[in-house]
Amino acid sequence: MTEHFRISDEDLMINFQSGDNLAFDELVRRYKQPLANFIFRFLASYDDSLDIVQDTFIRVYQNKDNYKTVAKFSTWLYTIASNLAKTHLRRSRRFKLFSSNVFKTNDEEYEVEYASHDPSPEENTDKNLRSALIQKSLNKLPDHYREVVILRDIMELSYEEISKITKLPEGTVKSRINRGRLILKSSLDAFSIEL
Amino acid sequence: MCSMNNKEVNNFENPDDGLKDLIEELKNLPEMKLPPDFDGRLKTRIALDNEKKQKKITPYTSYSKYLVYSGSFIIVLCLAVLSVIIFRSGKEPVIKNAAIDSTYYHDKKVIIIPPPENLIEGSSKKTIEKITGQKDNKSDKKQIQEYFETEKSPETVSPEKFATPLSGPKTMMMSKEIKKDSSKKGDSSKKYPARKR
Repeated sequence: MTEHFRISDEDLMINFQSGDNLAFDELVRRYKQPLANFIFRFLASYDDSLDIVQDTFIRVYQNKDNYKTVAKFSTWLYTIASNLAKTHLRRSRRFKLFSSNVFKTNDEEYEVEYASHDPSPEENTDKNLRSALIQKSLNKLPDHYREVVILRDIMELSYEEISKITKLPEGTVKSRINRGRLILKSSLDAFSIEL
Repeated sequence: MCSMNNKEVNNFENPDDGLKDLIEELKNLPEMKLPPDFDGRLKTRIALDNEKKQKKITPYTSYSKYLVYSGSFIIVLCLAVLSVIIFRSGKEPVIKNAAIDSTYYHDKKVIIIPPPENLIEGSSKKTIEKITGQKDNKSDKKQIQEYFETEKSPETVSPEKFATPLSGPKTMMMSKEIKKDSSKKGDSSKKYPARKR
C-alpha cells in the first residue's frame, strides 16, 4: 500500500489496466472523499450522492481501458462524476420527493441535507446553520454556475482542469465562476436578513 | 488537492472582501461523511456487475416456426395442385377444329364433319374457312353454334358425308337421321341448341 501511495494517479491507472486491482483500491481511497464532497454539494442529497460516487467508481472500473494517460486521471474522474450527477438531477427533478430534513423560513420550505447521517441532526449549532444556509444558496444557483463554483472554490481545481471537465473555454469558466459567486453572495445575504 | 498556480491567483483571483469571505466559507464547508462500509459496498456492487456480465444468456432458438412455415407451404402447394387437377378435369375438351360437331346416337358418340365450302348450299354467310381454318377469337363452342344456326335445312349438308362414331363398332348412317335423333337427347341439346327451321 505504501508503494502505491507514492505512485501518481496515472501510473496507478496503468497498473490497474494491466490487472492490478490493488491500484484501483488505492485510487478509490484517494478520491472517494473529494468526489463525495463535490457530488454532495452539487446534489444536496446524502443518499443520492453516495450512489453517484459508487456509480462513478464502477464506471471507472468498467471503462478502465478507455482511459488514456494524455489527460489527468482526476479530470477524467470528475467528468464522469459531473455527468452522472447532472443526469441524476434531471431525472430527480421530474419526480421531486420531499426529504425529512426541512429548513423553514418565512413560509418557504427548503430541503437541506446535512453532510452526515448522524443520529442527532437537531443540534442546530451556528456552524451547522451557516453551512445549511450556504448549501441552500448553492441549491438556488443554476446548475452551470453551481458546478463551476463548487469545482473552483470547494474542490480547488485549476481553471484549466475545470475547462476540461465542463468542456468550456477558460474564459467562460472564469466568467461563470464570477457570476456564480455574486449570485451566491446575494442569496446568502438575503437569507441572512430573513433570519 | 490544491492545484492552483500562482499566476492564476494573481491574474484573476482578486475578489472583493465580501467574496473572499464567501470563498473561505465555501472551502471550510464540512465534508460529507462516508459510511464505514463504503469500500465493501463498492466491491460488492462491482462483483455483482461482473457476475451479470459473465452470465451467458443462451439464445433460445425456436425451430417450431420453421416447421409451421414449411407445413403451411406444403398445404398451400397441395391445395394449388388439387385445384389445378380439379379444374382441368372439369374443363371442356378444346375443339381445335371448330367445325367438328359431335352428338350421341344410341349411346355412341358420333362426329359430324361438315362438307367443304364449295358444296354447301344455303344461306350461310359464313365460309368454311372462317369456321374451320382461321383462328377466331370466338370460342370453339360458339363457332359451332353459329354454324348450325346459319344452316337453314339439313339438305344443305352434303349427303355424301357420313358420320362415324368415335368408339365401338363403326356404323355408317345418314346425317339426316343423326339430326333427327340428336334432338331427342336432352344433354346434347343443351350444348348445341336446335337448329332453327
